[in-house]
Amino acid sequence: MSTPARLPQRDLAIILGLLTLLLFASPLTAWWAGMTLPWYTPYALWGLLVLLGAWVVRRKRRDEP
Amino acid sequence: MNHDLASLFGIGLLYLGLLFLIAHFTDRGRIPARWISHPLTYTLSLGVYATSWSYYGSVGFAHHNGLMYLTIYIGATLAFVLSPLLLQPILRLTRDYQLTSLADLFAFRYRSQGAGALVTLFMLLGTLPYIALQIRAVAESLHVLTQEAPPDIIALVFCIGLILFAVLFGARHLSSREKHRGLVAAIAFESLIKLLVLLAVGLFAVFEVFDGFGGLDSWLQRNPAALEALYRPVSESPWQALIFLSFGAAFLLPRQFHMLFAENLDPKALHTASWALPAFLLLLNLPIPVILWAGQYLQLDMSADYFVLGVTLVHGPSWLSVLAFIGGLSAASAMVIVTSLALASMSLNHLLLPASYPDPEMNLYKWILWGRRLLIALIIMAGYAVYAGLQHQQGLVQLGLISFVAVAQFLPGIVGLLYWKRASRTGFIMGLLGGATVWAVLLLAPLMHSSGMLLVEVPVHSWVAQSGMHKWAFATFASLSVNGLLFVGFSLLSRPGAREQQAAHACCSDTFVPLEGVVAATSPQEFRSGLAETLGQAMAEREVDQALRDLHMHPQERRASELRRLRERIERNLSGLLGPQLAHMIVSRRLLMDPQAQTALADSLQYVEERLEASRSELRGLNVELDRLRRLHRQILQELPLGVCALDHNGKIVLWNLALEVMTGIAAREVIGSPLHALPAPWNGLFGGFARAADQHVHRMQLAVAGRPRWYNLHKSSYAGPTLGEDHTSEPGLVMIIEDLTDLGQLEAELTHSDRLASVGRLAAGVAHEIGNPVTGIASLAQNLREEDDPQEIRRSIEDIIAQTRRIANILKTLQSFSRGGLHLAQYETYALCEVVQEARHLVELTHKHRNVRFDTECPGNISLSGSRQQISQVLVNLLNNAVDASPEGAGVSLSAHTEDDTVRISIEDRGSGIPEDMRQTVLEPFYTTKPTGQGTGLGLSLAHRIIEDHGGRLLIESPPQGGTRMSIVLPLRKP
Repeated sequence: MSTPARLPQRDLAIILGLLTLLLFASPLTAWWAGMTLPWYTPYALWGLLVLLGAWVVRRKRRDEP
Repeated sequence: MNHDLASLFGIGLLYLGLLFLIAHFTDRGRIPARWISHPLTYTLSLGVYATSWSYYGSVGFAHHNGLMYLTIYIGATLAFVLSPLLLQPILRLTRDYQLTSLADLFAFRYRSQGAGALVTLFMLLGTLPYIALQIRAVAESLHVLTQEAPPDIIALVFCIGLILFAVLFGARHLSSREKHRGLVAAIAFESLIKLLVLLAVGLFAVFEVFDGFGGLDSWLQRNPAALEALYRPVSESPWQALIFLSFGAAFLLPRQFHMLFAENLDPKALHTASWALPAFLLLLNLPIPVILWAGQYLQLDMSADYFVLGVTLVHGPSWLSVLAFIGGLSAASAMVIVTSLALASMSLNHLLLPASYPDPEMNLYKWILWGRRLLIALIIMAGYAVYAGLQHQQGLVQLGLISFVAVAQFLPGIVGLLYWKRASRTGFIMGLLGGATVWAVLLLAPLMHSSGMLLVEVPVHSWVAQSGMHKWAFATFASLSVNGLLFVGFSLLSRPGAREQQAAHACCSDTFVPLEGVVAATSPQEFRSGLAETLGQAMAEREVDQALRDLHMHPQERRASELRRLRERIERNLSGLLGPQLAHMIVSRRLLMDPQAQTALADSLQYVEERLEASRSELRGLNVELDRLRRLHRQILQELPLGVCALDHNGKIVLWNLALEVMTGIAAREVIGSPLHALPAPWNGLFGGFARAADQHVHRMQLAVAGRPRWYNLHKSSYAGPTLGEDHTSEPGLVMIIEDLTDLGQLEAELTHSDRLASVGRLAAGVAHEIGNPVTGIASLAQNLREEDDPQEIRRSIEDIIAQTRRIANILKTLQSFSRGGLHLAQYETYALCEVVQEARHLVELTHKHRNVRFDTECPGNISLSGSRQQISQVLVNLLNNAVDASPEGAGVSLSAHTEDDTVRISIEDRGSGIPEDMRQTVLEPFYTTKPTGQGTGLGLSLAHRIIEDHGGRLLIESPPQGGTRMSIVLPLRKP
């Protein structure tokens, strides 16, 4: 079985952008806001996006000659 | 606890002084450059996004709208997450074309001075309330801390301080090429201060107000309404609208655009900022709910906008409240400084310069510098005027959001700029006018009405109520809908011109057009003269020299392709100084293109190569594979061990590979685009002559290179391939291949020399061996003679000695014949071959009478030869002797002769064991023999070979598979 090709940074950016919209600008937003969650929950979700963004950049740097 | 107004004022001035010092030390190089160019410094400088609205206003926003304040930063996070699609293409454009502002970008893409002016005016209108917000935040924070009504004079002094800073550190350089490192350092420092102070206030609220996180949790459990109020607004309608607005504001606000693109020192820093700025914003917002709840817990009697100060005033040490004030001052001052710089640049390029272009006799640089400084002062003072004129009924956030909706009107234009080549100038202007009108009616008019500047009230409230939407969502939706519809509609109805299409291609990252046309000017000096008419002599010279330096171009450059690049570079550099549209107009008028001349393939090729190299990371799908294929083919051509030179149909060089660079010592960049006659000697003659010659191949052509002869093989072929850009000619080009044979010839000569030395060595060893044996024998006999008394023995020994000396004499005689064989050819004679054959046969028969060998000879009587009869006879005797020696007793030896064209072939065949193929060359060497010691000198065959060669003939040795050896002598019938 062949190894799947690594996604280019643009594609990862689009996926990350869609994830941002899913978490913060979709019906899912109202769902997690309606639950009795700790006050820092939105920050935790935001922090997850930041970590994923840092991983995408680190991956790009590793791929660069 | 209140503070003294004068001391806070003094502290504020001291803080501004500290900013001056940081900027000053950075500009002087006292702060290490690697700190300033570090991606984190760049990220912190982008923290200018967080103004006093974020610093003070977020708590007030959270108080009224819960988590809604987060939308302002989630939208910015989304913009930075999408950096590869959004920010990086804009950064590439601004760097490539020296564009310093959003107005520059739009004026460049839509090729319209009107578009640039409209963007500038709308940006000024939309941003002034935002500047006013900052001034108000500083003034009101002073009021909160001192409980004294802050006189307007303090706000005025604050503005003057900002003007001084912006003029001194933000308007030092004229061109966008030179970055304001001091400004970047100061703004980054301000971001760091506001972050640290806000975190400190947050920690103070947790540990001093609530006695730790446990206390905070207990309070939240006792007051569930606080958490419920935080989460409830998430599902309300403006949530998505505000995310959308902040998404646009994150890179379209003048201060953001300026720090992101105009002050970017390293494009790679944007990669780091794409996650580090969201991280910065996250940390900045982390204390907001805690500070809000601390204010509610302390039941502060003030606007929630200033809880950051209030919490520290009621419950904390005085130094913390002063620090909190400094943080707010940082946030406000950074925004005002950078915004005023950006707006000044836009106003200069798109309003002032087009309206009143100065006389070329003036020093244009000074005029621009002072114009920019004056505009900075005017913009900050205009912000102050708006601050003074507005009734301060709105929260800080309300004023900021008015600006956000304003800059969101540029989003359709930006999307069209990056991704829609059909987008037109008319569509952009109409869309922007429509969106701006709706914005002014829905947001600006109510603001002015509430401040008494507008008497007529627009019934916005009823419209909003009828729509069922929130005010901000309604304003955003309405203005952008009108904007987008007009933009798309008018773009589809209008047809963009050629210049606009070219700019559209330049902006859309996946397509591009090569540079076309030929500049009428034929030297950089003519460029200077042409530009001097508009720029003045001094500025024209400086700009042309700068462009020459940027391109590492020779001042006497005359190649059309290079001059075309120089023209483009000058336009880009002027764009950084005067704006893209004015730069384009000046260059178009003063550096005219030759309408008759055709773009050379060399120019297009070079441009395509450069663009592909620069945009490799932007290629996708099949384009990536095509690029790989292109690079492979180019690499093959470049690494070919033969020199390759290709010409286009105009005779201009389009390819000059690495081998040719090494061979000629001429770098490709020096000759690409040149005709062959422009090459230095002797290559111009070699290639020029060969290109004109009828022959497709020339072998071993001698050429004097640096005074030494060299030899080359040359090959050429014409080609007709795909064309680039507008080059639709069907005339073929020419490709020439050159092979340097000089080194190969030298290697051959060295090998021959080595072989000769080896032969001499073998000859010497053979001579030593052959003469050594009889000499040893003579020495032994002579020693015996000394003690021998028997006369018969003495006589026999003497006979033996004589026999040995005769053997030595024979060897020496044969050696002499071997070495002087050629000399005897001076005595030519014509003789009948058959006679010589019979003589040789007779001689050999006598010598080998006892071996019963049969001789079978066949020789036509009419064959006559020229040469040394005696030597040919010796050859035949030697070969016949060898044949007899090789054959078993009683076997037959045949000799036949016959003519073939101009030669005669004499073949001698024996019935021996044959000679292996790998030995056939060795048997011809002197002293090689397979006979027992004393029976052969090993010189016979070697001598025969030598004599035959001296007669212009050849000696062929064949051993058929069935056995035996055939020695064939091929001699010319004519005199050699």
